[in-house]
Amino acid sequence: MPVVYLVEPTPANIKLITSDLTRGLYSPAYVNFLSSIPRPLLEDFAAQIASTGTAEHIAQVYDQYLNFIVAEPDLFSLGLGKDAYYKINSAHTSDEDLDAIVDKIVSGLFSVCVTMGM
Amino acid sequence: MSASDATPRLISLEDHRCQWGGSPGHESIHLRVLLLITQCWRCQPPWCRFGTARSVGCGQLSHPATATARADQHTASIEKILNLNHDPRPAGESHHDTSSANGLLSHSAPILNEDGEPIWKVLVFDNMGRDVISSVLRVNDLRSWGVTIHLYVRSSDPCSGAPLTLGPQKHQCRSIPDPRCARRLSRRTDSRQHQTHHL
Repeated sequence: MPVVYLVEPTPANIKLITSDLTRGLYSPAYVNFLSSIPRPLLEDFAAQIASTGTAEHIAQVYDQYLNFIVAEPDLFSLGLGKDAYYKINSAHTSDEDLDAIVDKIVSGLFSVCVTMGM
Repeated sequence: MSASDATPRLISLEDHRCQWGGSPGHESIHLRVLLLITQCWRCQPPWCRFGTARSVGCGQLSHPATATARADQHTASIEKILNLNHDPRPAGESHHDTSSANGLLSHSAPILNEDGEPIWKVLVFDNMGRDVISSVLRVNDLRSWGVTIHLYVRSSDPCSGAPLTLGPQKHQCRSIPDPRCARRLSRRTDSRQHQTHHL
């Protein structure tokens, strides 16, 4: 049975996709990442697929620009979670966490711009 | 603000992203977040409703028709994913399709296989994917796009919420992709409890 994946490009999700394909649960697989997948992660994905020999089960791998939530026709949210404001303003937030949040905001706003066709 | 003004801003967003490549200190990150927020605020406050009094001055972007078009574009790209990345709308057709919003089935037809049957498929999403889809499509919309089962990517219970219509015969359970699911359904049919499980 064909499967459509709509997930964020994270190492955990990529591992789960590979494990699903290795167990032969679905074929073919149409993989859609909600935001642009970073190059190292894509190479990691390719390496995992190649090492498990499941390449023939993958039909498509797409980058979508959809990592924002349209709640109403005139309202959208970036889906950052409940503690985004705290993390941005707290002195205890590590640089890595802050970088991750800023990257998420930029990527979300970029997706909104792409979808609006600006 | 015209559409042509908007293009350089999009590029400048990318430029800032490149500058963030290193590991700057907290102060400079705060400054840059502020810069980004100010930049976006100039056009549309991202946490604010589009088309409110604040953004009336933004001209084209705040026009109600444009706002509806953006929501439609968002829905259209999700529908395209569910249609295995084939564009479901014939060329030239208007994107102002509000049929799924007002409770009717979508006019756009799902992709068919060579026998003219819809391609039935499984949808797997994570938290963000669920939020993105659930805000614009309902389960029966997913059905009209050929999605029979929707699963969470890390689900320990792969059958939860699956809209299935099956006969009570065991061999029909074999078409279910997850073996755990098939085993449980077989047990249910063996114990003749299928009426309570809507099989």
